[in-house]
Amino acid sequence: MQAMLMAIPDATDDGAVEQWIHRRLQEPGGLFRVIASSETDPAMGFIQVGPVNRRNRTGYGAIAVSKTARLPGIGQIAMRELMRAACRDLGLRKLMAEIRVDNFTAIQLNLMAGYRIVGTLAAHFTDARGKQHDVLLFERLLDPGEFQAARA
Amino acid sequence: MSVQDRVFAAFREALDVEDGIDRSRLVYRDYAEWTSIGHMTLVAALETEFDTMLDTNDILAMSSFDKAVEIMTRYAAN
Repeated sequence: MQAMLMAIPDATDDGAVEQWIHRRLQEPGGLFRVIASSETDPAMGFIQVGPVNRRNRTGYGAIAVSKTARLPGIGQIAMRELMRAACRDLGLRKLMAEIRVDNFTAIQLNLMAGYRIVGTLAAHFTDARGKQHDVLLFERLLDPGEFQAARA
Repeated sequence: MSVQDRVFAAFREALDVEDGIDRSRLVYRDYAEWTSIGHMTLVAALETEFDTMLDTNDILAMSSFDKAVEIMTRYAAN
């Protein structure tokens, strides 16, 4: 999962995860929120925005949902909340995303959420085995009028 | 057209469901086309059909055709 998220963790023990979350929370102008079910409690994933360019009001957005999360539409809801929070809570006017060309589910999810592909970043990500992957760059303009509905 | 027919039309469009299918077979992750991505397509089709935006809890609860009809009946009434 980390490789598809284009992140190579140095460690995955509780302390390392806690530090990683702390760093995400310190992202200037960004946000990090955990997705959890009030019925089942365990975290199912997260949404994050960062890095953010506050002058341009743009930022990189990402969601991650555990494969064990079986609820229908959880990725879609996470994506909606990501865009709503970026627009309404952070005041951003555009989200961007970088996704590996072989991450078909994420590509579909982003396209269905209204992102468009800007282009391909060649050999942009190197995985833990040293293999390089092309990455698609996406953008999604955010209109505050889109996000009037009740918060998730 | 009844709510059930409108919901079925959305399923047909989103998940390539055939007209004569036993609708009790339409269950999230049991029916082959009804994947997480299929669910997004289905929600979009239902939102278009009923000209509405589904509430978060309704998206999460929509795990079968019968449940979808139950949920969309509320939207049709509003």
